[in-house]
Amino acid sequence: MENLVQLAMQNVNFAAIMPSLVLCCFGMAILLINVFMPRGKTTSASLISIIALLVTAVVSLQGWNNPQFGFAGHVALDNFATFFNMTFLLAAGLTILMSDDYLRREGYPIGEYYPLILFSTAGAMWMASGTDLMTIFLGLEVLSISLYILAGMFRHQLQSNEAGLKYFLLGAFSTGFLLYGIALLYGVAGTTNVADIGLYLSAHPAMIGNPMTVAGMLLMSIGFLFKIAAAPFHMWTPDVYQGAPTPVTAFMSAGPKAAAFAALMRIFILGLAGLQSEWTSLLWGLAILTMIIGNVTAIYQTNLKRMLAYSSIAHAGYALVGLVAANAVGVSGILFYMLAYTFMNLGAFAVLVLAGKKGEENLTLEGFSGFGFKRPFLGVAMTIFLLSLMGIPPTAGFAGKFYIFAGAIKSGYIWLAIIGVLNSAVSLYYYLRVIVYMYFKDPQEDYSWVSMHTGAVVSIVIAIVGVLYLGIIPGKIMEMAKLAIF
Amino acid sequence: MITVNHYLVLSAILFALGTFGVLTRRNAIVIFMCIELMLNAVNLSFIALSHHLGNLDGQIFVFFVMTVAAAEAAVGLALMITFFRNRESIEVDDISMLKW
Amino acid sequence: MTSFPVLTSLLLLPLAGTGLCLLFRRKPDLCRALTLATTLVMLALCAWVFCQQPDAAGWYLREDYPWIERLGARFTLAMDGLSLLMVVLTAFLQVIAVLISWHQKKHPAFFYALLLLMEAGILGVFLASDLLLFYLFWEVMLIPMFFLIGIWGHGRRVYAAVKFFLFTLAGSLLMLLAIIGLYLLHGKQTGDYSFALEALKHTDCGAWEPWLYAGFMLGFLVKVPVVPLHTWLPDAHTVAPAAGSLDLAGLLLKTGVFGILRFAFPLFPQSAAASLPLLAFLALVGLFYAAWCAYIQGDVKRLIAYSSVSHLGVIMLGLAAANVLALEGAILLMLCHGLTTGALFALVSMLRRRTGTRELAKLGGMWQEAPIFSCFFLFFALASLGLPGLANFSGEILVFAGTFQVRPLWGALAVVGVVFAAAYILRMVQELLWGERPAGRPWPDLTTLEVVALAPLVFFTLWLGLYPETFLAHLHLPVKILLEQAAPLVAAHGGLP
Repeated sequence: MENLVQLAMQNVNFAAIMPSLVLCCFGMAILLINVFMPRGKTTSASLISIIALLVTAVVSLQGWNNPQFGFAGHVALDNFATFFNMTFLLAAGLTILMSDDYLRREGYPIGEYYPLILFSTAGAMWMASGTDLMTIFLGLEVLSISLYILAGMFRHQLQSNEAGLKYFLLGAFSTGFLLYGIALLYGVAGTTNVADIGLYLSAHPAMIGNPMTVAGMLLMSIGFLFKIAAAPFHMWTPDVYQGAPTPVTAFMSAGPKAAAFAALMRIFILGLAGLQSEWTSLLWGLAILTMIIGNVTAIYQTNLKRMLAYSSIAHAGYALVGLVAANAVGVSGILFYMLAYTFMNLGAFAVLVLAGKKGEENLTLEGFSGFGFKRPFLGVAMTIFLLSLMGIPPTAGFAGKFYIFAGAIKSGYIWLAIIGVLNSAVSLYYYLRVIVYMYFKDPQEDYSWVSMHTGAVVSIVIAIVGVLYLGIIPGKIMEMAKLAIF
Repeated sequence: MITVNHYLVLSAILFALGTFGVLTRRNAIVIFMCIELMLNAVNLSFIALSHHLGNLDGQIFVFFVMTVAAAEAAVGLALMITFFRNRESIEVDDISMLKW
Repeated sequence: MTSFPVLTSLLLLPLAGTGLCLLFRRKPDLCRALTLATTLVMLALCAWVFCQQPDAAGWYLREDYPWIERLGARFTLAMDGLSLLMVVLTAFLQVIAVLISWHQKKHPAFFYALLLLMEAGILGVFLASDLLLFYLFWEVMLIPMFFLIGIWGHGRRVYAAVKFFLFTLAGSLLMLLAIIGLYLLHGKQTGDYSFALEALKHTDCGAWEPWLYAGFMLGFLVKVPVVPLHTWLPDAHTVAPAAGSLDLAGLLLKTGVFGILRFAFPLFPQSAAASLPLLAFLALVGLFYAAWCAYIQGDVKRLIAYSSVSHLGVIMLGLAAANVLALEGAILLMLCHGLTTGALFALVSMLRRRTGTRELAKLGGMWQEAPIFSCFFLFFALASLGLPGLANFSGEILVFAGTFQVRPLWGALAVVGVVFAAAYILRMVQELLWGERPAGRPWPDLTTLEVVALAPLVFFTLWLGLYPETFLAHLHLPVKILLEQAAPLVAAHGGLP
């Protein structure tokens, strides 16, 4: 017995899981604190969550240039994981900042909201630092299950119910495929460790063309592409994004997408490098399809949350271009892009959070008529975020797209880059339309219900600073993204 | 003689049945049961492969899958109940307020 | 040379002005004063540089700071004679733009902030010597114009603003791809990944050259605009507010020509040389087509917008002739066109403010009604027509002389085009100033402020017409260097001087 414990303890390295450990402890503590708080008082929970995120950020940064491995090769806190952890923490932090007043306005001041965000962030972290398919799978599920609840949080609102249920059914369905893919790969390689799978495949090149390997790769991709919201697995996105509480939508558009990209990159580049020609041709087609479907469908949307949902599909397509390129520029471009996207998209959602009335019936193009002059700060902020989403310099979106398309051209995917750029041109149309409504139409209302809650304003300011910083002097973060890839 | 291939084929058949059920059934609970069928088909593969390869990873994975499935079931059924309370139906055709 | 970063301050000053205007948005008077002060300081700075002498390589000033080192992009600003003239024109016209929109009532602070932001963008385009930096400013300058047209325009402003934005941005996105392509090619060849214009000039693009050249040219030609790509311009001009039209005609169109001279020709001389006949063809088609369109317009502003396209045809012809005389003439004509057409747009806006219409059919008899206005209008109309002694003449005559040297046929056709210009301008002048005065309330003459705004334009129109050498002196060196760097351009016309 003692031997067994010793054997187990040899592999334990708490430093490798410290960030998510801290986050989970805080999450459970907040759950307990909630029991003793009077109903409806959630501000303290949100404050503690912010502290939790800051502490986790500090802990996580210990792994920068100081990689920690542990648990028999199941977890690695390397630069890659640290960079992604920062992105997740940022997404969670901005989300929590904009949530408190929103929840009260909508009539659901539920304390459990914050721990759920923390748990899903921890799940995302496992996905980024998991080096074993088992860890990645568990991370994905922790992330997803928390999000199912969050999406259906407003339990008396049919919209939210539907969003939660739809997300759950389709999410669980895609998990089935993911697991089957893992099982097949396990059958081929005899291990679920990503690096060992890579070693096995390079030692046995004959297995690369084996239908079981290819099928495993394809099925596993489905699970991640679903989370990324890549076409044709994007069907859930618009409905869930529209129906879920706005801050949750904001979080969903950034956190899980980045987490799924992290897992996909680690598995494809480290584990399935042997199948690179297969997965690049698969992703090549999907990237184009995703960009086109996202952008073209977004043109027809009048509900802003739904429009941003389709735009989020399109942005997944741009990021996939970087994975297709599969060179240092493209891959570190994805890391940069996910961070940039977190800033700009969460910023845009924070504006929506403030601009909405109770029930959010007014978050349509028409509902934004003349908003820019009535609410100058929010108008300018929204304009900056939209310009960034379009990819206009000097914003983060431009730097990110530049990076990714440069990667694609460098690998010789000229047409892919051209299609991507043309897609950005299409996207101008629907982003621009929001600006047109905000500034060029006469106001129908005086927007007197918009009150500038501290939390949301802080998150908007952070997002503006981030978008401009990454847009004007991206050098430092690009350098870090370069160091973060394998 | 029953080889690992028999198990794998059985598992593939079960998985396909589950998938087919998800795509054709209209009742959310039945859909969920079909998803569970898919997960258990995967579990069957894992165990068969684990036995065949002679290492335990696959069996450990099955424990995790079962745990996760239980958690999913708890959350999923809760979501269905809230939906049912508001809509008095559990047919996916009624999940229609948002465009499907 | 001083160590004071003049060029950087030229960019930072208007940006600071933008920030201050947004900050004090509740005090319109303060914003207006701030904006005028900023533009005047900028003008003074430019005037100071104008009096300097360039170094042997043609640079007046150069500033270079690290920017995105990971990509090899640097914050490099450089000013040679060509950009000097463009910068002076920008600073000058921007002062006029503030003056003619002195009584802006709708969201004044925002308006002035955008004017200044646009100035920063345009100056950046003229100064940037790093391709990525150039692209950044190229896009930055779009956004304020989009808002100026969309918010303060008249009529179909949303349509015009969106069309303007989509056209120019679609063009520049292809340019972006070309920039990336060139950057990677250069990096692959030399191992030095850099966006610096000087370094990229020595890239051997091989089979890619025509494609990269086409990408750059599409971005620029939309902006110029050359005829099949010009449709956004009349719409944008028709609805734009006075200052917007002035900036659009005087400055934004020039960035396209400037881009061709600064980037497209030196970077891809082989393809550029091969494309000269096509450019000349497009220029001539534009010259005639736009003149014809101008002739049949009923709206004065639209008429002037088409005349603008027609003039740009002459400028493009000068580029296509690609010799010393024609290039200097084309650049000089850019200055002249900026002054005269800008002034005409300003006058038309003043007219509309008084009469509520710009339809020629509803106007007439201005000569008796508003003599000061009419004098100004006649002066600038004649200048635009190319009357000797006034600005456009000196530019046009150089372009024609240069064109005749290499391709007499092109020159002859272009001269015929000028007759067309006379036709539409004289028709406009005749109907507006001497036609029958419709009944209605009286139209007051120009105010003192408006006269003050227009007087400097008159002054410089005369100067450019009578003694262009002041400005040409700054052009001899850069044009010589350009033709040396892009030797195939000269060879394309048989190696004539």
